[in-house]
Formats: sequence, structure tokens, C-alpha cells
Amino acid sequence: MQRKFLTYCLLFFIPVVLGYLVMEGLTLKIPNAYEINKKRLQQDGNTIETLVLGSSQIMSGVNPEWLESPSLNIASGNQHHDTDFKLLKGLLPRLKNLSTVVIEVSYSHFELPHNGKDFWKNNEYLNYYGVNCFERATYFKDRLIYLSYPEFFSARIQDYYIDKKPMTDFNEFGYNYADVYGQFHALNYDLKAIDAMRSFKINTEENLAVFQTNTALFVELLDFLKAKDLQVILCTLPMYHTYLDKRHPGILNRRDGMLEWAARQYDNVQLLDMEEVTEHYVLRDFWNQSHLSPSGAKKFTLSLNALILSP
Amino acid sequence: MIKGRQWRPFFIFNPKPNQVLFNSFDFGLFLVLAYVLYWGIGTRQRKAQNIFLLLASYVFYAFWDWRFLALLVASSLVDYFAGIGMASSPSDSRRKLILWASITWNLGVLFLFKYFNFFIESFESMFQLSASGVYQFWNVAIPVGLSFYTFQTMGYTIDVFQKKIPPSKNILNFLCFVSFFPQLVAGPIEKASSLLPQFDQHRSFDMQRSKDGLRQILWGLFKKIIVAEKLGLAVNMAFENPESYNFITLSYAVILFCFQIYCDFSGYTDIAIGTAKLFGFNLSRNFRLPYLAKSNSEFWQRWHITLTRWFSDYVYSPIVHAAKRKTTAVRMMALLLTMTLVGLWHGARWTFIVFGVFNAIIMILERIPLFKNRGTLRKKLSLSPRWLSLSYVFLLFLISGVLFRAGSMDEAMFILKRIFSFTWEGAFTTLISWKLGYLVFMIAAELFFRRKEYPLQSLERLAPKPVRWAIYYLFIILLVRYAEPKEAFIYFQF
Repeated sequence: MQRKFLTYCLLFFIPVVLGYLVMEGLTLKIPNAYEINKKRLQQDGNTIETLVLGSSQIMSGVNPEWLESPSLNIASGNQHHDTDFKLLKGLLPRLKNLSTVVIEVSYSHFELPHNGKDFWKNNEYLNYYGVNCFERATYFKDRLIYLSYPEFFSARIQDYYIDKKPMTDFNEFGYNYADVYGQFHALNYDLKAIDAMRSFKINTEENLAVFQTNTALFVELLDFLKAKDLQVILCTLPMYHTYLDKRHPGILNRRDGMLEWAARQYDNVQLLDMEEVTEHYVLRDFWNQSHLSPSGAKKFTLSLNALILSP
Repeated sequence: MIKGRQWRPFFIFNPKPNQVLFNSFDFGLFLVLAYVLYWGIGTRQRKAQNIFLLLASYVFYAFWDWRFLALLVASSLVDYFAGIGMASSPSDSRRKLILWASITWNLGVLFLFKYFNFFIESFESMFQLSASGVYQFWNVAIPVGLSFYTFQTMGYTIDVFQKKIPPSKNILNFLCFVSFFPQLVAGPIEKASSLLPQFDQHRSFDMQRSKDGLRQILWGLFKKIIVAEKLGLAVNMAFENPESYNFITLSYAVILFCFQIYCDFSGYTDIAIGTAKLFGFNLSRNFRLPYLAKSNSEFWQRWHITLTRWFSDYVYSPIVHAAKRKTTAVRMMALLLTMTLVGLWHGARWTFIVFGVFNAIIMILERIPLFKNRGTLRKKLSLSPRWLSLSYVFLLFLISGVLFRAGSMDEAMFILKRIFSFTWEGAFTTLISWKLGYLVFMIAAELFFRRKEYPLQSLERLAPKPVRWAIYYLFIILLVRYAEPKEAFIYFQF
């Protein structure tokens, strides 16, 4: 009886497992920045001098193509300082020539809880970078990408294979030229319509408890970088004026205060505070209110490049 | 008292978020392994089966945080020895003393982990003791399942005291009863008279029962992953920015929340009951289509039945029983106290207390003879057309739902004010669009198969194997297609 039931179960689940393997294979074949970064780490890990960490804002805002020093941008959507820190520690032994670490400190970075719902990306970090961000022992399941967020990857599979949406156009440095965040493009860069958009993602909720936790970790990160004798560039990226207007003054003041304190406290820290320095940026330099387009990224990356090269 | 600093005992930290949730791959793997090994032991080895179940349950619990395992074992041992002690005590006063020692332990643990900060903060704000408001004693997470297993063991001790059941003399069985992993973290809260003897019975492999269990797990996963989580996205959207939505959208979001929490918790319960069936156990039914209730009193007889039964048996009835005159006023006061405690059981927040009080007041109003011939609202509602009683219950849902979901009383009052002042200002959105279809399907299936424990139970009788398998595959495809990064069940926090 037991054997019969187990046979039934095995027969039933074989197609499920096969189906899963197909989905996993399809997911892995979609071009992505992690895969490109993985190859670069394997091939040029020893030559990389600049490492860029942060969330989607710096991911779309820094294109290593325009940096003169060999660079790697491993920023990713909603990637917080705690993950940045774990990735840095995990990758450091492989980046023998690393001299500069660029860290994004967006307007709301300190008052958003760590990792949040994006812990599923830990599978990507483990699978592509070989870094364990789970804070626990891992096993084979933690390397499966599709399983980490089936709904998200199902949608990507549909977009890429079925609807054939132009969602990926990576350069050799893993920078995506495709319009991923492009609400402005969807509005045909109509200034009136864009300025009238009231609903876009911005955190305006103060959270002092989270601020306390996040800044404590941030200080730990800076101490670590100091101990490793690495140069640090803390940067903010240009934002569209409607985003700037909507920022909460309390959150903003605390973030700015923290940045100034860090620059005073650590002699290896430099600031590149460009959030409000937008006079050289035109409408088409933005994908949306909080993300730069490739043309905007070129401008920002050149500013970053100048700072890295400055004595 | 340490001001402005968090005191953290050396042995307790916040647990890491690696939880074995019922809707996770980790649990699936754990379940397959446990199932194969359990039946592999052999059906004649009951003791070995129980030892295995105990180890499996402790491993399962230790995945959340192994340090809280000590608390679980300690609670089990306290009540086990309390039972033995009461049975061997010749005098009533000694038995009473043991009972109160056990209750003090259980409530003490519950108070310390769940309510301590809440009472201190409320006390501070009431007497304005702290200008900065940052007294903080504990920075610990609530041990998962604490409210459930504490109530289960307390129920056992009270039953032994009242001589409703004999004390368990088998420590292995008792430890299994407290920690049985399918129902350890979020119930159903089992009575000792129902679950404990099952550990003493011969359990042999039954293919039909295993199939039944798997089907119930599948249905539970559907309710959790497809319905509750999708509704949750819509509900979060409205509750995070209530000022952006008009009263229609907010009312709609609250109703969706009521279904979200139903699908979340009853989905969990289905998985728990289904899992228990795989191991040859029967757990109590926890829901009976609560959205069909015709009054608030009936709603509570259909919603989280094991909790309502617990409070009815161990709080309401003893209070009424202890009163010299069992007048309506006494019963109403007992009801008010019981429902307030039901609210507080859900969490250390004023919104939960108000939730309990609100429900108590409604239930009292439903039971007071307000009409001719001592007619009560409850009786009137039971005789009224279905649409009228449903509208009534949904209106109550609206208020209860806001109190249950809101993070604070201010937030709850803001939303309620917006709803009941019929504020048009703000966006109207359907929030969930076509995915509402899954909820409609779930309700239709539960209504159509309402005589069954869960809708898929009838499948074996109604459809041939190829059709059944096709349906199972369809469910699995949907589950995989729409699974989000694993989300905790709402009731795990209680």
C-alpha cells in the first residue's frame, strides 16, 4: 500500500519537476546584469579598481563604460546597505586591485528597512556571485533562481519569450540601455503630463527606529572600509524636480546630516552630492522621477569619474 | 529601569528570518522527509513513531529559533507535572495551588513576551512618566506559536483540575501533544481530550487518508498563495495610503482584507489539518464558512472555532458558573470580558482591544431582548432574508476589519472617519482587477461543496483519475506561477 502510494506520488511529481526545470532553464537564459558581472568577476576580478554598490538609482545612474578605471557596478533594485556590505565582504578577496568603493545614499536609504521583500535576490547573489547573503547555511534550493520569486520570473519569461519585449540591451559592463524604468518615455516626454504625475514611488514616512539601525550599520560599513584602506565615495544621484519637491524635510535633513558627518569623520570618504544639481540634466536624461536614463547616466558617471581621478 | 537604552538579555535576540513556512519549499522538503521516515518506521512501533514526531516537531520549531525551543519544552514540562501533581494531591487546596502555579507560569510567559512592552508603554503614556517615551525593557520577538501552545497546555491543566480528563502519565505523548508540528505555530488549538488520546492509538498507513490530506494541503495553498496574497497586495495599497482613496475604495479594501485574513488563516488551517492527516491524526475544524453568518454571534461560532471554544470553556463559562445569580447582566459582563480578552489575545495593541470590545458590544446588543415577546436581534436576523443579514454582517466586518488591520487607533479612526463620512475625495480603483476572480472561485467552490470539509474532498467521487490529475496540475501551475517570495501567515504573529 505504502509503495503503491509512493509510486503514485513519484509518477505525479515527475512532470512537475520536469516543468520546473524548463522554467529554471528559461529564466537562466534571459540576459541579466548578474551573469555579465559574474563573467567580469571571473575574467577581470583582479584588475577591477572601482566597485559600485547601491540600489536601482545608481544601477541605472552609473555606466562603467564612462569610467576610466576598471569598474564593476553590482548595484541592484532595492539593494540596501546591509546587502551591499555582505557583497563587499564576500567579493573583496577576489578584487585584489580594488581601491575605491562607490556607495549610494539615496534620500530615503536610512529610513527604509533592510532587505524588505527583496530577500529573494539572495538566490541571485549566491548563484552568480557566490556570496551568501542569507545569514544561514544554504542548500541546493538557494541556488534556484526561478524558485526564488516564481511570480516575478514567470512574468519575465512571458515578457522575454512570448511578448518579446525589448527589456534587455546590456553593454559589456552589465549596464542596461533598455528602457526598464521609463515612465517618461511612455508619456512621450510630455512635460505637462510628467509634471502632473502625482503618483510615483517615494518614501515620505519617517522611521526613526529604522534610521537608528541603518545608520549603525552604515557606520560599521565605513569602519570596515577604513580598516581595509579603501577610498569611499558616498553619492547621491540627480532626481527630477517633482521628486525633489516631494521629499520629506525630516528624512532629508537626517540623511544630509549623516553624509556631512561621515565626510568629516573619515578621511577616506568623499561626497558626490548631486541630488539637487540638475541644471545640466534635461528631461530625456531621466527614465522617471528617480532614475537616470543612459544619457543622464553618462553625465553622472563622468562627474564620478572626475572625482575618482582627482588627487 | 534603563532609560533610552535597550536592555537585551544575553540569551535572547531577534530571530533571523529563516522560517519554515507552510507555503515554502523548505516545508515541502521537510514534510516529504518526515512522511517517508515516519511511515518507514513501521506501523507497529507506536512509541518509535511518537519519538520521531517529537523530534520532527522540535526540529521544525528550532528552524524558527532554537533558543525558544527551551521555552516550549519548559511550558510542556510545567503542565505535565502540574497534571501529575494534581492527580496525586489529596486535598483540593493543594490541587488549586498547583493549578494556579501552572496558570501563573503560562500567563507569565505570555505576558512577558507578548504584553510587557505594551503595558509599560500604556502605563507610561497614561501617567506621563516618560517625557521621551523611550523606556524599553525587551527587544525580543514573540516566540512563534506562543499564544497557541500556551492556551493548549493551559486548557489541559484546567481540564485535569476539573477532572474532565485524567492526567497524562506518558511524558512522550504529552510532549508530542504540545509540540505536534502541524498545529504548533498557529493552531487549531486542540483540546487534550481530542488530540492527546490519538498519540496512544495505533496508526497504520491509510492511502485514502494520505490522499485526502494532500488534497486539503493543495486547497489550503491555493487559498493562501493565490487568494490571500493577491488580496493582500491590494489591501496594503489602500491601507498604506488611505488618504489617497475615497470611501468606496477604502470600504472595498476593508472587505477584501476580511477575505484576505480568512483565506490566509483558513488556508493555513487546511494545510495544518491536511498535514496531520498524512501522519494519521485528526485535528479540529477551525472555520465553517464565516462569511455566511447571519449575526455577529454566529460569526464567532464559525470563525476560529477552536479559539472561541477555548474562551467559552475556560473564561466565559467559569465566570457565569461562579456567579451566584446567573442573570442576563452577569452573562453580558462575562461576554464583555471574554471578548475583550479575545481581542487582546490577537496582540498587544489598543486596536485589538477595541476590536474585542466592539464585537462584545454587538454580541450583547444581539442577545438583549429588544423586541416584542422577548425577541432578540439575533433571532430576528436569523429569520430575516439572507441579503439583509449578510449586509448587516458585512457592515460589522467593515468596522472590525479596520480595527484589526490598522497599525494604531489614530490610523483606524482616520480610515473609519473617511468611510463613514462618505469622503468622495481621492481615487477610486478596483485595486485587484481580474485577480478578484480567484476569490469569487474560492467562495463559489466553498459554497457549492459546503457539506464537505473543503471543496477538493469530493473530487475522488466526482471525477475520473485523468480529470483529477489535470485539476491538481492546474492548481500546481497556478501556485507556482503566482508564488511570491514566501510570506508569513498573518496568524503566526499571534
